[in-house]
This record gives sequence, structure tokens and C-alpha cells, in this order.
Amino acid sequence: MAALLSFVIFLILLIVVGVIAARFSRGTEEDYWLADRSFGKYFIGFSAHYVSHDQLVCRRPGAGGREDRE
Amino acid sequence: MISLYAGAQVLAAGKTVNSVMDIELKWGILLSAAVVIGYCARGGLRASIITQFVQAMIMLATSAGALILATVIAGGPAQIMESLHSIDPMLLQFSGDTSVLFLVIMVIGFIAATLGLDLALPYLLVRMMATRSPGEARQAGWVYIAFVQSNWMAMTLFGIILRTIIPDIPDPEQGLPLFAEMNLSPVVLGIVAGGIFATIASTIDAQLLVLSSSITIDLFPSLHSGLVARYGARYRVAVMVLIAAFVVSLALVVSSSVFTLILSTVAVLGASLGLGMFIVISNIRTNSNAMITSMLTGLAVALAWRSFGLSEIMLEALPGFLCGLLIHTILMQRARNPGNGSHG
Repeated sequence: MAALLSFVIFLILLIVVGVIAARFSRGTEEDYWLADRSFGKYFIGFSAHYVSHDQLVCRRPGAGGREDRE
Repeated sequence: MISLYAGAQVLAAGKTVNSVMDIELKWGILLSAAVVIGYCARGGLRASIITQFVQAMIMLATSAGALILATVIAGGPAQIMESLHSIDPMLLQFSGDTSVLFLVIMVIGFIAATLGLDLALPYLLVRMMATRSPGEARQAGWVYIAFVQSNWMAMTLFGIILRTIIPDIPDPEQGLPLFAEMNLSPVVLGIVAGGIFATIASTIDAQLLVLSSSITIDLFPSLHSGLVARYGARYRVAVMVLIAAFVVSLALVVSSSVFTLILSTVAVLGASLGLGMFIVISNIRTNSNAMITSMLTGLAVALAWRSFGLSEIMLEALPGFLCGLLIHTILMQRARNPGNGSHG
């Protein structure tokens, strides 16, 4: 139960961070698609890694889902 | 191809939710898509990058924490070496029982696959375009490489150490969740599961953004401009929701295992889109016929290479890439010499 709760809180936290980030948006096309070209090297470097090598680093997608085991 | 890749990722995220929350897979898939839409549809790339930065910090803490804890539980470096030696002395050899030639071929295959994958992911290039200047983009590249390498090393070492703690893991991919289940409190276990979900979700949101921009701005620029002027942010959210619905439907009907699907898609991306991107950024002279034919060649060769089981020797990205490049060179040569029959 505690694990489920912390998982759900984690998901809610993700949405909250995204909603807060959206409040800084200027609403323009450039802002929506390219974040107004306003980010520094750390945000971009970490984000780039996160979207590109996720499946190679810490897990294989879908492994272990309940329906996998049945 | 990107939508297929996104479909596989949504299915993977759904399975993570299905596993943690004990709900039906279809509800796990729908919940995953809803969470991704919830955090990135309104804010676009800005929301995507900021949430990924937060997720990356959690990922870094998870991998470093897991490595330190596993080292302590296994009894420290000396004990780990001894245990590994007793399991299999080859584990302490640099190349194990692999021949030097095979090792070299394998390494070349991995280098090509990684390079091809990086070139083939449009959302990676989009991030580089979101920096303040080209100089900052180059620096971001180094941060990216440092982060990749540190995570690779931490997780590889963790996997090796885990062999001494849990010698008979039925599915090695489940090593981290299993280790967390055995050694951490349920609260931390939930966070680790959340981290795994977030890792998958980050790719989904990046793919949805790229698909949205490709379909709206690239394919229907006039219609896009008109709808943006009329509906603004609501239109962009609606586009992303529609594309997410398509991707979710893909995830619901896909029957093959996610693992196979993802890996074959990655190979396809590296040998086809990666080749196309290589031609563009290298300023190689091209035309649409040569570009499309070479990418399709790369795709076909990569799939054939894999289906013949040759990817056990070398990953299929390099053969696909090279064959596609060869076809491109031949077609462009013929285009320069119309007497040979090409219309260029």
C-alpha cells in the first residue's frame, strides 16, 4: 500500500511540475516547440540523455508487467 | 516509425503501471498516456525539458544509490571480486571467453548503433535547438555524454554486483526492481517504480511533441497557422491528445513483446532515419529519390540482417547504414551522369 501511494504521489508530482513549467510559457509557437531557445547546457544535456538512452541504461521496456508473467 | 516506437513505449509504461497498481493493462496504458498529456500538452517542449531534468536527478540518485547499497550489501569490493571469481572466473577477464576479433566486431556494431540512434532521434536534435546558442549546444553535448557514461557505468557495475547478491534472477531486466523490493522500504520501492515509469514517459512526451510538430507544421503548414491563430493553445493540446489516442490504439493492438518491438524499431531508426540525418548534416549532395531509396535500403537490410540472426555477431544498424549509404552514392553518381539512365 505504501509503495502504491508513493508511486501515485510520484505521478502527481510529474503532472504538477509540468503544469508549473507551462505557466512560464509565453504561449508562442517558438516557445511551445523550441522552449523559446532559452535553456542552458545542463537542462538540455540531462534532458537529451533522458529521452535518448533510457531504454539502454536502466531497464528494458515492459519487462515484468503482470501480463508478462501470466 | 516514431509512432510505432511511441506505441511500444506507451505499452511499456502501461505495463509498469499495471505491475505496480495491479490494474488491467489497458487501464495502465490509458493512465500512462493521461499522465504524459497532463504534464506536457500545455507547456510543450518547455514542460517536457523541465520535468525530464527533475526525472534525471531522480534517476541519477537511484542509480548511484543502488550501486552504493549493492556494494555494501555484497560485502565491499574485495568480497565482490572473490564472489565473482567463485561464480565464474571469466567474469573477471576483460573480454571473458570472447575472441578479440569477435569483440572488435561487437564494439564496432555498438558504436554504429549508438551513433545511428542518436542521429535518428529527432527529439534529441530538437533539444539541441532549444539551447541559447550553438556554443551552448556543444557544451550540452558534453554534459549529455558525461551523464550517459556515468549512468552506463553505474548500472553495469550494479548488474555485475547483483550477480553476487541474487545469483539466479529469472529475468535480468528485473534486477533493479527486485533488488529494491528485497532491500528498500515500500515507500522507496514506489519511488523507484515511479522513476522507471518516468524514464519511459519522458520518451513518450518527446515523441508526441515531435509527431505533433511533424504532422501539423511540416505536413499542413497553412492549416496549422490558421488554427493556431484561431484557437491558440487549445489547438496544440487537441493535436497532442489526438496523436496520443492514435499511439495508445497502437499500444493496445500490438501483440508482439515490447522488448522485440523496441529493439527492432531502434535498429530501423538507426539504419534509416539515422542515415538520412547523416546525409543532411554532412552536407552530402542529395535529392529526394536518392534519400528515400537509401533510407528504405537501410531499413530493409537492417531488418533482413536481424531476421537472419546476424545481429548476434554485429548489431544491424551498421550493415543497414552502410548499404543505404552505398545505394545513395550510386544513385547520386548516376544523377551526375544522366547518360547512365538516371533522371536524378
